[in-house]
Amino acid sequence: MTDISLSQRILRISRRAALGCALAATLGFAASVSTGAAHADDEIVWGASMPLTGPFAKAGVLGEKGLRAFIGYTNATGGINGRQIKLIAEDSGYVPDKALAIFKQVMASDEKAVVFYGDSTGFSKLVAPELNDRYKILVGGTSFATDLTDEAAHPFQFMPGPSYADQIGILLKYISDNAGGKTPRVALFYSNTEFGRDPIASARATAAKLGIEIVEEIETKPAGVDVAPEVIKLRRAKPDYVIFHGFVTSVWPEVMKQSLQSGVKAMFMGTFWAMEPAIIKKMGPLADHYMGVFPYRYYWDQAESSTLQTMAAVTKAPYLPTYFVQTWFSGMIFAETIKRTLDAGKPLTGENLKAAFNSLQNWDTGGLIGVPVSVRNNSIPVGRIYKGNSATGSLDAVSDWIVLE
Amino acid sequence: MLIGNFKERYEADEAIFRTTRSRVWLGIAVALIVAFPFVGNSYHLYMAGLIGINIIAATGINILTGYTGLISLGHAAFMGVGAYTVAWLSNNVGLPFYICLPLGGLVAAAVGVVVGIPSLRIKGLYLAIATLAAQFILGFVFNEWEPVTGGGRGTSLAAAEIGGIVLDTEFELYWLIVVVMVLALLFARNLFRTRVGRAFIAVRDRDISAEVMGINLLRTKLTAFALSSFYAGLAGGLMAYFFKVVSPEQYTFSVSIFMLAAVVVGGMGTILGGILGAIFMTLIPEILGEITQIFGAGAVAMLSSAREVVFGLLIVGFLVFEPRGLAQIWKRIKRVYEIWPFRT
Repeated sequence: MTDISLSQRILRISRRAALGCALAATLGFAASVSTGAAHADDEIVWGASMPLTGPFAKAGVLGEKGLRAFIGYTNATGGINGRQIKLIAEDSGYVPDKALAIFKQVMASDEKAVVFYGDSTGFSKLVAPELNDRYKILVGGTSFATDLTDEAAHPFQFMPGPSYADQIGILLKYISDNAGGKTPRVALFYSNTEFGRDPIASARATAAKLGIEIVEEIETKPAGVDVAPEVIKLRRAKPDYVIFHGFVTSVWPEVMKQSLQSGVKAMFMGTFWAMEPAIIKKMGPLADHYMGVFPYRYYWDQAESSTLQTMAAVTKAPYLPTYFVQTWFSGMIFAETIKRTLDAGKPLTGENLKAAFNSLQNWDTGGLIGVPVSVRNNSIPVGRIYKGNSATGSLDAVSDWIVLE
Repeated sequence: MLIGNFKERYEADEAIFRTTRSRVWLGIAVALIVAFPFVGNSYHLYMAGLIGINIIAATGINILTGYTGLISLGHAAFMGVGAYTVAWLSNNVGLPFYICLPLGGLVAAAVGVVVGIPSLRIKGLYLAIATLAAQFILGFVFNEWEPVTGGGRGTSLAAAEIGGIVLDTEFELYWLIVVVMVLALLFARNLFRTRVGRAFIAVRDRDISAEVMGINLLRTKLTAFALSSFYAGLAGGLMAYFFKVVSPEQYTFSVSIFMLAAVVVGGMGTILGGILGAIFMTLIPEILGEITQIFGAGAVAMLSSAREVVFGLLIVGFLVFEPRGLAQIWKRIKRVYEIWPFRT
């Protein structure tokens, strides 16, 4: 027998250890898949795919906390008609295929979910064919894609607020109402993604209807953009308002900064995902030139909203991020539709849950939305205009609640 | 203990599965593949379908990168070409899936040949950058050629259908994917027993020597690109029928990296490497996800990030301990029981 060196021995042991670990992991997987977690018969199972890793991990982690906090609160206060909710949430990494795998896993297990929270427009579209024909459960999520308002194509999906087209519609209505007899000049600044282009055709049509002139349309990448040429275009177009859409934290703050420095005298506007207070705080003095549409009250309006007071009491946090509030509100919609279905003595099928969702007319959201809301076309077409305030680092309401007809 | 492999006929010597033991293993594998859909639920079949598609795509990139030594960072784009071709033909011409799928592969192959032309002048990192450019150019086309691709919103298509049977569940699609996968693997396995396949390997090992030996570099490299892209197109076409939706975000650069990583982890230049790599890359994140669930619902958010780290470490670990990939580990394991009770 030949002598082997210490390093070779270590390598051999390590190889064995690595193989052992891989085997143990596989056995662990097999065990977990085969046994499943126990759950009580009367539990109501909710499924969720959350982007806990990947490009939207920060939002995903906060969103998961929101949904979990809502479920914890509901269970602690008696559940839904005495039945407890069980959440099965997994990380999708913001990959639609992976989110679909989570959906299928939840639906294939013994603990079949009655509702599911999806984490992207990509997922909403991937799941649609089978959701409509086979699984038929109620699905909500992060997407405000205008396509989802087509009830015929998406009979089991909803969004917890106005679609992107409606959000731009609310902004344009505000601009029109505050025009003071002038023809407002608006520039549309959007990313070249599905998200960015979503409301643009609708925005053109609404602007024409309201007598608003679209003086410039600028399409850029969603990130990593040299904004200087775009700022020159804005300066030439001389808009009264610049509406951003299809960005989250990048591009638009820099466009705003450079535009204001180069003398563009416009008000800058944003939509849901660019209305996070933490972003506004970072903007400093620029915040005074920024406004946008948001469908809920912010956490500093707790006096006006019992729902926000509950959130604050449950979390004991001084600050409630947008992502947290959005998933909490989605949870409220799920719980309300389930309650209405159970009250009607019907089984928790997708058809019954969707009918219960459509019955949400003049529904009181505990002041989270300042007016009683009525769902329409899988959405809640209500919003309010908020304006940045650099002194307080917050967003102040500058309009009443705008309900689109 | 296996001490020899005696053969009496040339046919026996040329067989793919030459020993009784390997034929037994093949039988077991076939039995498992046939039995699986009857015991697995829809989630298991969904994962099996994804693995099957990834095996076809990984085998494609293995032909190009593993066997021919031409690195490609645009494999996902070729998959996209196949997927969009299938969707367009299905929606606008009304062709059945068994025509659409090969046509998807052929269109992807044609695009692959065009992208492969620079490989005659450049190789290594430079070729990687050229194929990377193809990835982004084709990604731009998927997003912008709205009448054909549906733009950023993508397009949808009807389920595949054969003889009145609609292939719209995981169970039915499983069989379609398995059949295409087996045919694709058999073709690839046999390819490297032919002059064309051996020419690929010769080009990889030393292209100048290969040319001196009479191998036409132009034809060989472009054939490798065409075949690799054909496999990608086939996989993309299957994906289109699998999801019934085709959108640009399904065929991004990260998918190209995924495929390349699969063959590196599995073992470049072996058919088994592509198979094992695709299984590893598809299943390990799922397995790690299941393990995080064991720690309780509250820990999911915290452990998800750790899971990404573990996944990365596993890949690095395999590369450090066995640079020739999972296929080599499997080979070593096989050798242990073949010469048992003796040790290597």
